[in-house]
Amino acid sequence: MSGNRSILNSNNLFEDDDVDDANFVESYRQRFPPPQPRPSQSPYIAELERQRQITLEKQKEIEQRTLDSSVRSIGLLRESEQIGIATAEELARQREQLENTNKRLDEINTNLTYSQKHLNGIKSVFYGFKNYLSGKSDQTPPKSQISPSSSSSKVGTSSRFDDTTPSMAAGRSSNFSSHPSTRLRELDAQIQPEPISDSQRINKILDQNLDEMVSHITRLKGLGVALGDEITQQNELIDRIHDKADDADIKIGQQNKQMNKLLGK
Amino acid sequence: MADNEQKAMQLMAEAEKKLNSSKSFLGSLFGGSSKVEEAVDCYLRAANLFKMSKKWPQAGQAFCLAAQLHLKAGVRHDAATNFVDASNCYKKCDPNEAVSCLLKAIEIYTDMGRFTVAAKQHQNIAELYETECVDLARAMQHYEQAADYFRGEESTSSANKCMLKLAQYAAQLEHYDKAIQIYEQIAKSSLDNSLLKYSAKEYMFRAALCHLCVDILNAQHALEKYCGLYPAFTDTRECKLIKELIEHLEDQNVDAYTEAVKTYDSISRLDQWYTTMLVRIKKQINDNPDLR
Repeated sequence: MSGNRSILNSNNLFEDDDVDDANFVESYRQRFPPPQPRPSQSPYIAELERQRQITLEKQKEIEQRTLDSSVRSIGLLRESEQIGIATAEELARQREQLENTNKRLDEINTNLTYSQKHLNGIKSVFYGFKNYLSGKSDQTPPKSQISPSSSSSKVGTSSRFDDTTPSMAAGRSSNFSSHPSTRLRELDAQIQPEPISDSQRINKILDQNLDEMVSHITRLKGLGVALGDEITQQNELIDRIHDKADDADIKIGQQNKQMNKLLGK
Repeated sequence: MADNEQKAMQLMAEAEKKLNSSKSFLGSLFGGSSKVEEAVDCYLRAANLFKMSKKWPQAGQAFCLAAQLHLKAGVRHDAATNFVDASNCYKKCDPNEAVSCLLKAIEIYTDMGRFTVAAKQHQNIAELYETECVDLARAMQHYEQAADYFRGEESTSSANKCMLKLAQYAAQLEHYDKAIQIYEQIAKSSLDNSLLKYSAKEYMFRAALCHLCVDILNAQHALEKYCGLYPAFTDTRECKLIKELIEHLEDQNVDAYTEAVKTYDSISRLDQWYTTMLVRIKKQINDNPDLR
């Protein structure tokens, strides 16, 4: 609240005549406590003058701190984005490995069904005969199951790409045009006033920094959403792999037991 | 720990005896193969005991012997795994031995057609050349091989990881064309993926820096091309930095160049690769007084 009061004070002071402005600018440039301007005037005005200088200095400090903190925030946002990007790349690699594992597990399962048939053949002549009769029909392994799933996942990612890029572009442009700060800035651009005083300049820089932060945060949100989707999909993939691995494990156990029995151990 | 080592030496001696004994006529007739298997078993147990007592050279040697026996017996997969184990032990004492073990393992894997595993071992060798015995040229060679194998197995993101390292070292060794090619290709392909498109700006930045090391005009054309490919690139700080650097380079203004780099560094740190490239570009200013 004291900040509000000080800004009100300085606004009133801006509307004063030129002498105060020159004083104001000079006092900033010197960075010393201002020289006693008019020793002939009453001490009351000198006191007010001193207070005004103090509040102006406080205002400058606050503005500088705000500027610094906005710059720091931008740095932090960039770091977060870099971490997100590294995570995204790692996830992409992981997805490839998971898909590889999926394919190999499918191959393992088909091989296991073949070996089961062989074992059945060895176990008894009757089974062997049945194998011979039904052997011609199932030459093609069920690899067809793999391709639809992988192609559907690719279609899924490409459709999401199509969705996100126009939505990001449209979102960014609509955010950009409808955001209050950019609308104001267009007004400024048309009127073309040069920011005269320091605090106006600082406000301009602050606005720019805040805009940059907005774009960073939008990007981070997009990254976060995409990462979340990717992780959900990979979770499903992992569940499927887990099921297939369990399946293979049971089959291998059974076949080992059968083989041991056959070998008479 | 000392008795682990003693037990391990005993086992090695036992294994050698078994091998020698199987050469006798009767032994080879009746129990030849099982003797070899038992010998292999002994070697493996000895190697593990050496590992426990941290005698890495002996452990590596034991693994190598076991692997060679496996090769003779025709069990290639186990041989390759043992070679990899041997290289892990040698990594801690003698990197060159580790590299040779890995090369043998890679031979076996490529013979069997397991290219993904072979590619990963190439990556391991390259990392060894990166860190332990620094030989960038050979590291680059292995990274290239690994990337080729990965691409053959359709693991594009693993291939990209190797290509990125390749480009980094190529730029360090001043093979700018290769680095530019790789960075541009990866940037283009990452634009297609909704997850990876956020990293495209970094690759374009790196490619633009390499262009700057070669020629300023090239860099300007390249920058326009990248902005066309990826419109959001124009708003990034990286693009702005490159534009500023091009400006200062044309004006031959070293101080403004350093100033721009410092401002960028205060917001997000530049790592060693970036600083090397930027210093090289800065040297160009001092060496080319006749540009303007």
